[in-house]
Amino acid sequence: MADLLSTGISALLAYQKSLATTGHNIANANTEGYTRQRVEQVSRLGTALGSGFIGSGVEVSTVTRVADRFATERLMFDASNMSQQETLQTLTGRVDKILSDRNLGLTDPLSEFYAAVDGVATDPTSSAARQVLLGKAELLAGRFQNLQNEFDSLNLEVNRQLQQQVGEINTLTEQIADMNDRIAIARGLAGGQPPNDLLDQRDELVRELASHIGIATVTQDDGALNIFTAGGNALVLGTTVSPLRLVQDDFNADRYGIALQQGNTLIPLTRFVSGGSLGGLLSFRRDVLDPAAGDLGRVAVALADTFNAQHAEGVDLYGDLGGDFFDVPAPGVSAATNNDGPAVVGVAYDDVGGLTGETYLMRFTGSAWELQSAETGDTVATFGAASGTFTAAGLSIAIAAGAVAGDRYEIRATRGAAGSLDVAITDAARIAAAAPVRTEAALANDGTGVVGRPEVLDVADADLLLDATIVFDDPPGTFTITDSNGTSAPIAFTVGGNIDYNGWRIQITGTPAAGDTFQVLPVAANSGDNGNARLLADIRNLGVLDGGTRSLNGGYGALVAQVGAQAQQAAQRVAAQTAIREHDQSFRDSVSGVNLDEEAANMVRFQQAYQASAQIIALTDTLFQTILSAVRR
Amino acid sequence: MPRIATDAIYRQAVAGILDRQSSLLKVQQQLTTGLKHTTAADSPAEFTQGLALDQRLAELSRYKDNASAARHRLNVEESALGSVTGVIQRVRELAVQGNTDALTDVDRRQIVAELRQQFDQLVNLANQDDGEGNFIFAGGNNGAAPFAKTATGVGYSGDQSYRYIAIGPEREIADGTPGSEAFQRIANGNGTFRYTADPANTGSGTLGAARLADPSAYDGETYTLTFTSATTFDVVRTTGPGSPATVVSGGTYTEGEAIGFSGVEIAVGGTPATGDVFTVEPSAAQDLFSTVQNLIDALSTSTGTSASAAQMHNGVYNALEDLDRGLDHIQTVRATVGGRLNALEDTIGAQEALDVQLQETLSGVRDLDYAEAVSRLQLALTTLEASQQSFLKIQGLSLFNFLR
Repeated sequence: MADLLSTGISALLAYQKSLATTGHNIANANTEGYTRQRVEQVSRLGTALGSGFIGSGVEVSTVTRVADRFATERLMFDASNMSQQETLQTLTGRVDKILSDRNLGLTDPLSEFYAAVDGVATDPTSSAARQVLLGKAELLAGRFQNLQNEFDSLNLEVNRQLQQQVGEINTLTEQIADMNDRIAIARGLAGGQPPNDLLDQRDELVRELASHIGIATVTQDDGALNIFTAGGNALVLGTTVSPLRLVQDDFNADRYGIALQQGNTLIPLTRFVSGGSLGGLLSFRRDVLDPAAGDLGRVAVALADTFNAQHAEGVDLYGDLGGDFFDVPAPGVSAATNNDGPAVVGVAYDDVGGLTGETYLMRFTGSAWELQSAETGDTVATFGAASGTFTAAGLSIAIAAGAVAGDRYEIRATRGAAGSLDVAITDAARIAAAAPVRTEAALANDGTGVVGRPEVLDVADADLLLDATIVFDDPPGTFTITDSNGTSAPIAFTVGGNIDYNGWRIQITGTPAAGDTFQVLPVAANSGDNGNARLLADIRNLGVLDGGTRSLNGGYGALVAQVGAQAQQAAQRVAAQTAIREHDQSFRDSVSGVNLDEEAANMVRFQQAYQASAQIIALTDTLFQTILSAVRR
Repeated sequence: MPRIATDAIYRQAVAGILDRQSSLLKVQQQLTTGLKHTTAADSPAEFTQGLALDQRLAELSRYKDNASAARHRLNVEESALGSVTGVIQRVRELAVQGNTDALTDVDRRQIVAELRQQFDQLVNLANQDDGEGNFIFAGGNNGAAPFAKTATGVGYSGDQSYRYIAIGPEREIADGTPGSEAFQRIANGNGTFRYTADPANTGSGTLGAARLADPSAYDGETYTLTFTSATTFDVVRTTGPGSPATVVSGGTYTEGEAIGFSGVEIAVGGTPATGDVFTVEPSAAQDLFSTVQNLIDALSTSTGTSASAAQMHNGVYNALEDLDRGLDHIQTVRATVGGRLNALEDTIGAQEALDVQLQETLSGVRDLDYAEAVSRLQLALTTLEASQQSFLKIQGLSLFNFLR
């Protein structure tokens, strides 16, 4: 009889627990990361009698979380990928917006600049046209500087966000280590039973951490969760935390990197971190911002260099050869902060067509220098001496003696160059629109010889601007050229052939007669000639980048397309990642999520079972009364 | 059937609604801007194609501006050359008018007075500017008037450079003609040789018909015809290898009869005296101003004697020949200018057609197709409403509603 009572009471207690758990589930239906719980019931061992085992009720063995480890891990990875792509998309989208904006981009100022050059070509002596050209050149240079400023401020933004991310990651790893501790204690107190709600909270913290940085987890036997990040470095081991530290880049004080502090050593992680917002930030800086700034700088350098080279081949209104029109920015070079030797490397532009927008690392092996692409790590060039000058990737690199093996330098070919593009001249009369030399045919010539427009071959020729007189001999198969240096030996005449002298080239067509005279003369001051202005305007379609295959406009277009494609790709990845996460979340919810209808059904079921258990107790009373009344008689 | 968590039902419904809203916003943005793409990320290829087309269009419009500057200057030059033609024709009329024996020296003085005015007019025309201070006939030295009267004639301070203006890719035209080429480099005489009488002649011999009978036989040297008596003459080549060389010795003079030598045929009229000299020399460049000046000088000669009358006639004879050469030359230059204007209009016409084409292409890559966008807007609205309504229906369902 007592057995039946205890069976009834065991059922009553078990269903109380089930109802309580159902209530807990309903209460947490909207709790982020909550895993539904289930009461596991087992029947109590019966009492052995001669006639067999008589059951003695039910007991609760444990309360389990209905969790799928795989689903939890998938969500963790999803969080990592999602934040990485979202961070990348947000920041790349900003670069894309800047470059796509007509009021910020280069397309219009470039067109206006070339139009102003054309304006000078149509009316070279007009001071208004010249002033307009200076104005448009300044506008263009200003636009380059603005874009570079935007890029610089994005770099600062990356620094700021890195700092914030590191702070949040360190807080989370502390919390997880703390949670490991609490879980171990709780398990001890509950005799090894799982502290379900603490486990849920820890999973949620881990997921949060994964959205900041890519991680892998391993569960220890005692229930503690160890967390590893890039390169297998431990962030959390049981209750021990290795914090992340923000460090300055080896070469640039104005950019931050990431390192892991283990004890007293700092392990650099910048190049290895992937996943999470942190991975997104570093990937944005490495794959989007730096190349974009490099490409922009390359267009600026090529513009300045090409324009200056052509400008030098003309003559200004004072009759002087053209000086620099733009200030050409210089390549950036920095020694690593931990170099042992003194700074010995100087870099200058050698060939604009060979330039890339890349950043290079140069390392001294003790006997030779290795130039590596910072992006790919591939060796671009090797220079087999400790000092000297070599050219690679459009750069001329001069190395003085004194380097110590292991010394490193960073060479930023064009990154940041756009910020220092400036117009070098302020006096509009200094714009060299005229060709430096002109030709004349004497009116007294008897023959039909016609001299064409001169072309400048070598503007550095000291004799370029000398008056040169070409006189045809008798018979006119040869001619001599006389200038203030004397008279040349007779030169054979070919109709239309190139006559190269003093750095210029002319052609004479027709049939000159003996004694016919032609002259090559310097262009006078205030000349209305536009020979050089036309060549300057032609730069608009000239291939100057990538070995002469791409125009400046094309180079800028490629930059816009590149960033646009990256932004597009990031957006597509976010969309794809959203779908994947949605799928994984649904899967996790289908296993672990609370369904209120199901809980309602369970509630009814447990309630009925509870009522039935109460009936068992009532029944024992009835049975007992029956016996009592039988005895009383 | 997998079980579904209540939370998931809400989450998915809300995600669906947010998704529809963002696509609705996108269409709305396109409709308000009229542009297909807001940034390069929407379509990197089309966006940068648009940038390249922008640049091409800016370039074309620049060529149009260049062409209109060139057109203006060529029109000014064309009209100046037209006026020069008028001046030469008037000068020629005056020359013919003054060349008759019926006029007295006083009558000729009036003609000379008008000629002087025409001469000044010619200098003015040669100093034509384009209204912006650019002198059309100055070559590269176009900041100052190129022609100035000096004691010895009219001097040229311009240079011989042409200025070229880009009116299309790889297409340039000169926007003027240097004064040296327009007014100075003009061959005198008949273009091959010039037939003159020595001003010191004492007889009344005049220049008769002269022509190049055989262009291949003329060697470009100078020949003198000297009367050895009133009826006989010698012709001597005075330049070239082996000169002097007599080519005709003891020729008999008949008035107006052609005398031929070395591919040249000349005739002498009137009554030459012994020792009178007539010369055939190769043509040389002579500027238009000298030509008119020579005419003025000839008509200013007093015609008191038969010898001085002959000298006047001979001067006018040479001036008329030179004027014809000048007229020819100016017409040629004018035709060149006309040709350039035609080429310019052609190029601009072709570029305008290209401009329209490029605009169309640009519109294709950049502008929104409104019909398509509006239908997308409709679709986005419909699906958004459907998501919202289905959410309202589903969220009302719960077993708890039935547990009373």
